[in-house]
Amino acid sequence: MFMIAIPRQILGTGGIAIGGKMLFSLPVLSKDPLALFMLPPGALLTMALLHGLFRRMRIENHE
Amino acid sequence: MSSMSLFQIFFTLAIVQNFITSLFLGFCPFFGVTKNFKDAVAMGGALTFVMVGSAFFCWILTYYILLPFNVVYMNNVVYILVIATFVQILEMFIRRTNLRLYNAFGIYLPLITVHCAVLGITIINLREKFSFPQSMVAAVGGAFGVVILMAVMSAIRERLAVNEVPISFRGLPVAIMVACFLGLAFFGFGGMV
Repeated sequence: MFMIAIPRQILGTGGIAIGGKMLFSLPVLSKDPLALFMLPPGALLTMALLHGLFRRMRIENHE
Repeated sequence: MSSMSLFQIFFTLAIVQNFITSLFLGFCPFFGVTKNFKDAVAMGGALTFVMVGSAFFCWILTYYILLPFNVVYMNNVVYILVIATFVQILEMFIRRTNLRLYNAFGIYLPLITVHCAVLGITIINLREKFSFPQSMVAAVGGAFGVVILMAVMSAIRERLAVNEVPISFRGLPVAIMVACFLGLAFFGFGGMV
């Protein structure tokens, strides 16, 4: 859940905010965030990308 | 939601607030059974029967037993018992009539007992204080949304099986990505209700 939530918040809002306080923001994304990641299907996309990334890492480790 | 017309309830639960892509209920059978079209549609049929039947009996039990005797806090236990009974009846029926389908379902048929969408529809009916016709339409709408999504997903996965997908995305990751885009397509109808 944590691993899905972090990229979703960074890509969807352009930074990380805790309790209304912005911890950091990315220059381009904070102006034009990728709203897709804040929608329900954004969770599925993040999950798919993480799954693919982990599999890629596993394949590289085997090689 | 109880002030909505029957069509609006149907449309909302079938498309806009689809159980799988919007409410995230019932993921396991969704990815497990959608490898081929026939099994997906059969699973959808079984799920529809259980969802509508459970909504029917759970509504009657809620409004004629749980509420009058002030034991609504027992709703989850009662609902799970009703669902489990339904699934047992369905399992026996499919095993007697179609053994190939029974084997194709494998573990997923008993898993309907703990299918989140089935319990979800009964809880939504209680939470939204739906009347009897509304709860039936909600159950049919929710089941229709799941069936249509499973049918589309299985058709796409059959095509994906013969296409070249990058090795890291083969299997489940690309299926989840397809579910994401289907969810976006369904989400696009949001402004209509």
